[in-house]
Amino acid sequence: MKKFLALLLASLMLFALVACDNQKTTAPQDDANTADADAPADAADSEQAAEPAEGEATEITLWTYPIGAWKDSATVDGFIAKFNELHPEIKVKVEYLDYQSGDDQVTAAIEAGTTPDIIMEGPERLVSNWGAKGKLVDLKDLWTEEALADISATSQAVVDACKWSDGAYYEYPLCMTTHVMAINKELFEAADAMQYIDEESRTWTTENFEKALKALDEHGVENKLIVYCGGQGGDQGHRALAANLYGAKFANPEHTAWTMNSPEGVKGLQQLVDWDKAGLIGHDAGIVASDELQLFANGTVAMSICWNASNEANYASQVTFTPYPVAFPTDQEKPELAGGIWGFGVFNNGDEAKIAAAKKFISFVADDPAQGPESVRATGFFPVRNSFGNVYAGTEDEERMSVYSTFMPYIGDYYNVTPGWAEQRTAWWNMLQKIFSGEDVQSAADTYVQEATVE
Amino acid sequence: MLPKAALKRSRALRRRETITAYLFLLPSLFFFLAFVIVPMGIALVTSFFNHTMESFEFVGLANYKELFSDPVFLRSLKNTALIVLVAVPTVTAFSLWVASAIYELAAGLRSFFRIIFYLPVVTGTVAVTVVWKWMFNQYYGFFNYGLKSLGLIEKNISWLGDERYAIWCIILILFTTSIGQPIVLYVAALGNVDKSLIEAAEVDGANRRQVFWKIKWPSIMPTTLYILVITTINSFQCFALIQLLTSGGPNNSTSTVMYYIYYQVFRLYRYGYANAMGIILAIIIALFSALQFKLTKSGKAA
Amino acid sequence: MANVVLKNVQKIYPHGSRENKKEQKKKAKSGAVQEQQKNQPVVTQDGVIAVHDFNLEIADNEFIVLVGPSGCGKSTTLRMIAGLEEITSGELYIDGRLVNDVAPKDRDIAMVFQSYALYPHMTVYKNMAFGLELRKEKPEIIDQKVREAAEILDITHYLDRLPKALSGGQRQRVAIGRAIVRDPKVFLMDEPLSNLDAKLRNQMRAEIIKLRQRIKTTFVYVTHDQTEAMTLGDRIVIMKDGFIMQVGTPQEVFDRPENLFVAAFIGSPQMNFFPAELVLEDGKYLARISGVDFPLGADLQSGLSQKKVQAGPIILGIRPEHLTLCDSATTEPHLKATVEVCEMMGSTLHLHAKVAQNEVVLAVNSVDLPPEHRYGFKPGEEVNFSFNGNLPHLFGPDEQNLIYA
Repeated sequence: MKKFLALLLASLMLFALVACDNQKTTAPQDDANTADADAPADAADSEQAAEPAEGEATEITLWTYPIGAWKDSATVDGFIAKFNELHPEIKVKVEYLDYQSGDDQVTAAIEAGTTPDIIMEGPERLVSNWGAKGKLVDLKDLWTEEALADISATSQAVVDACKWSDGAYYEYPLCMTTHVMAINKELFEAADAMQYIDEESRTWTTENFEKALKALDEHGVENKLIVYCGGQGGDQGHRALAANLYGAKFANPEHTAWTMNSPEGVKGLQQLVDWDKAGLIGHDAGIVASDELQLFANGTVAMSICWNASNEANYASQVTFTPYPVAFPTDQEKPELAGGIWGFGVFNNGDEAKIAAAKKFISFVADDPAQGPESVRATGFFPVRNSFGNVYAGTEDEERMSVYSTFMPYIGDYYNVTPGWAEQRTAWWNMLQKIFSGEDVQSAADTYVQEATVE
Repeated sequence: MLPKAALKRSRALRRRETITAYLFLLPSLFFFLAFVIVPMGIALVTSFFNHTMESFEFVGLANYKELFSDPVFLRSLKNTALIVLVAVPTVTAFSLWVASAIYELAAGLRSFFRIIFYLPVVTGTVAVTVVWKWMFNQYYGFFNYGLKSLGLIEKNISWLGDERYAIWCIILILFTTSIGQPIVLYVAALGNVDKSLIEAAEVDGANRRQVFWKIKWPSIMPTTLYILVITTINSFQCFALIQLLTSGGPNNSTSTVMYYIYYQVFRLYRYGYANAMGIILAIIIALFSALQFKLTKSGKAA
Repeated sequence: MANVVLKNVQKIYPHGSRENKKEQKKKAKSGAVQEQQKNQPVVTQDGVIAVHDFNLEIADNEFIVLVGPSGCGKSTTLRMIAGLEEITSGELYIDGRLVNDVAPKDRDIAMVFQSYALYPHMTVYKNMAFGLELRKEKPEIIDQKVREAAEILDITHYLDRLPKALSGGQRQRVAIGRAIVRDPKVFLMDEPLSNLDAKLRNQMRAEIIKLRQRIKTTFVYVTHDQTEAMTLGDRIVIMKDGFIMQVGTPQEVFDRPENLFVAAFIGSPQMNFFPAELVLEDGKYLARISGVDFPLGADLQSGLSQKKVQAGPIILGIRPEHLTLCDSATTEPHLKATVEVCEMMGSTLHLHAKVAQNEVVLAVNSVDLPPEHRYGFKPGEEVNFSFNGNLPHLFGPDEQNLIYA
C-alpha cells in the first residue's frame, strides 16, 4: 500500500512539472496562401463577404483588458463564433486581464517570449509603450484610405494617437469616449447649486464651480469632491480637473514635453490647494479612483471626477440618486476633456501566419458593417468610425448614451502618447500628495516635469 | 592492513552509497539550482548592464553609482530599515510574551490560542489587505469610527494617506502576520526546557522572573536566533502589503527596496537597474543575518 | 543542620490531572492497583494516592535513606520535603517551622537531582555561584564559598568549563558542589548515583560518605538500590506503594525485617522463602518444610511463645548465606535440592537449586566446600542443606513477621 501511494505521489508531482509548461501552443507552420495580408486596399465591406476558408488551421490568442462587456467571455465568445462562420480555420483563444495585474502580466510575457497575438487596450500602452519599444507590428495595411477617412471624420486626435513618431500605426482603434465628471443631482438641487451648471451644454465655468462648492458647503455637505491621489488609478480625473480650471495644456502639441508647470497649470493646482485648505474640496492620499467611485455611489461624496458611460452602467444598480454627467469646469470657451481610446495591437511573435490571422480578426470585429457596431456597443463607448453613426439608436441605452455624446465635441488632445508616460503618471500623483501637504506648488510642479521627462 | 579485495569492496560500497545519496539530492538540487542559484547569477550579471525592454548594453558599475544618488532609493532604504528595526524586536518580544503566557495552559486552550495567532499567517495576503483597507478607510473605516466614539479624535484621520501614519499602518499589519510562527516555535521551545533545570533553579532560590530570564531564556536561544533571522528576512521582503495598500506612497513614505524594485521593473522596465538594487538588498540581508548570528552566539562560550 | 518532621503527610493526585495520569501509569506498571495494602485502596475516588500517611522524624545531622522499588513514593516524599510537590494533607516541619506553604527557595534546603540539572550555558563556577548570586551575596564571599566547595569535591580545575565538557562523575560532583555552597539546613538527594556506571557508583558512594563526615548537615537520600541504602544511611526507610514498610538502622532491617517485603528487599542475594507449617509440639515450636521438621532455636521459641503464636501455615525465610551444605546421610533435619545453576563468585559460590517446586539460593564460602565440589556443582546434581534454628525469619499469612512485627 505504501509503495503504491509513494508511486502515485511521485507521478503526480512529475505530471505537475510537465503540465505547467504547456503554454506554447504548437501550431503547424502555415505557408503563404492563408495570409490574406496583402488584400487590395479597397472597400472594406467586400473583404469579408464571401471568402471561403483557405489553407491550414491557425490558432491565435487575444488578451483583453476589461473594456465594457469585453470582459465577459459570453460576449467575446459570441463574437468569435461569428468570426468563425467566415474563418472557421482560425481559432481564437482569449485571456482576460484586469487593470491591477494586467500590465505586469504583459511585461512578464514580453520578457518570457510568450506574448499573445492580439492585445486590446489604448494608445498609451499600445503605441507609446510596447509599440515604441518595437514589440508590435505596424498595422498600416489595416489603415486603408477608407478607414483613415472614416476615423478622422470623427476625430483627428484619434488618428494621431494611434501613430508613433516613426510613422508606424501600432494601434487599430475600435471605440472612444471622453472622461467626464458626475454630480449627485438631487443633492445639488437641494443645495440650489444646479443653477451654476449650463444644463444644455453640460459645462460650467470655474467661477460658477466655486459658487457651487460654496452652496454645497452652506447646505452642510461634508464631502463635496475628493482629489484621490493614492496611486495612479483614475488619474485622468484630476489631470482634467487641474488642467481645465485655467485652460492649461498637459503636454505640448508636438507631444514631446509635459507642460503642467506652466503659469496656467500652476494656477490651477494652486486653486485646488486653496479650495482644499478652505474645506471646499478634500484630498485623500489613501484612496484611488475605484474607492472614490464607491464613495460617490454610496452618496458619501457629492461629485466624482472619474466618470464615463461605462462607470454609469457599472454603478447603475447601486446608486440611489441620479448621477448627472458634466464636463470639467473651465474658464476657457470650451473644456478639453481627456479622451479614452481603445483598440487592437498585434505583437510580433515572428509567425507571419498568425499575424495575418490576427489582422483578419481585427478587421472583422472593427470594420465589418454588422459586427463593428456590435463590438462598439459591447464596449459601452462610442465608435471611432463616423460611418457607424449612432450605434445606440433604437436600443435601451439610446437615451443614456446620447447624453454622453454631447461631450464628444470637447475631446481634447490625446497627450498620453508623449514619451515618459509611465514616469509622468507616478510623478503626477506624488506631486499632488506633496502640494496638498503644503509644499510650494511651482517647485513641486517643476520637479514633476523633471521627473516625468525622459531622454 | 586489509586484504586488497576487501579494500576494493569497501571503496565500491562507499562509492555506491555516495552515488545513491546524490541521486536522492538531485531533485531538490535541481530546483535549488534552477530557481535560486541561476536567477541569482543572472541578476548579478544583468546588474552590470543597462537592461531594459529594448536594450542590453554593458555599463559596468553605472547602475550602482546611480543607485546611491537616487533619492527614492535612499528613501526606500530608510523605510526598509525602519520597518526591520521596528518589526523584528517587537515581533520577537511579543511572541515571547504570548508564548510564555500560554505554553503551560491545558492542551486544548493552548491550541486555541496558537490557532488564533497563526490565522493571519495562513490567510491570503490579499484577503488580509482588503480587510485592513476597510478598517483604515478615512470615511467609514473602523479605526476612525472607534477613535471618534471614544472621543480621542475629532476629524477623520487619513491613515493610509498621511505620510506620517502610512508606514506605521504597514508595520502594524506586518506585525500581525509575523507573530504566528514565532509564537508556535516559542511555545514548543519553552515546553522543551528540561523540567529539572527549572526545579533546580527554584530550589536555588530563583523566583519566577529569574527562572525565566536566567534559565529558560538561555535554553531557547537557538529558537530566538532563528526567529530573529526569519523575521528580519520577512520584514526586508515585505511587498504585497505595500503594493496593495499604498503603492509606495504617500510621497514615497512606504516605498521599500522591494517595492522600488518592482516599480522599476514593471512600470519603468529598467531591469538592469532593478537587479542592481536586488543585489544590494541581498548583501544587506546577508550582513544583517551574519551580525545576528554573531551577537547571539557570543552570549554562549565557544 | 535541622531536624525534619513529617506528620501524617499524604499526597493525592486528583483524577483528571496530568500527574494523576502519570501516577496511574506508574502504578499499573508496578501492579499496585490490584493490591490492597492494609485494606487501604491505592486508587480512591479522590484520585491516586502516591504517599499514604507518612510519619517520620529525622534528627539533626541524620543521614536518612528512602529506599524502595519504582513507584513506591520515595521521590514524591523527597519532593514534598523540597517543596516541589504540594502536600495534600499533613504537616511538614523543618527545624520546628511549619513549611507546608513555604516556597522551595525559602526552606533553606539544597537538592541534587538524578540528572544533575546543571545549567548548560553556565560554567561550573557560575553553576555553583548561582544560588548565592540570587541571594545577593558579596562577590568575595561567593568566590570563597565556591572555591571551598570545589576543594572538597576536587573539581577546582574544572571551574571554567561548561557542563557539556565534563564526564558523568564530574558533573555529579558539580551538582553536589552547587548544593554544598548554599550551606543548607537539609541536603536532599534524588537518586544521584543512578546515572553512573557500576565502578563510578562505588567510587561516588565512598565520596558521599567522606563528604558526610566533613559536612554536618541533615541528609535525606532517595535510592532504589539497597546496597547504597545499607552503606550510606544512618537509618533506612523502606517504602512500597506509598506506605512505609519499615524504618530502622541498616543492621536492624537486615536482622529483624518486620515484614516479608523488607525481608526480601534487603540482602543480596535475596532471602529464600519456603511455605511451611508452624507446629506446636510439646510446647516447642517447629517448622515443617516439605514434610521435614526443623526445630526452632531458643530465641525464636521465646519470641513465639511470648506472642502466643498459634500453629498454622507460615512462610519461612532464610538468607542464602545462612544455609549450610550437609551430607545426605546426616541425621539432622535437612532438605534435598537439585542444582540448576552454579555461580562462581570467586570467594563464594552461589547455588541456584530447586526443592520440590521451590527455588532456593545457597551462598557458600569456597573454603567450606567439600573437596569433590571444589570447582562447583554441575546442573542436575543433588545437594543437601540445613540451617541453624535461630536464623530463620517467620512470617504469617499476612506477611508480617511473627516475632518482630
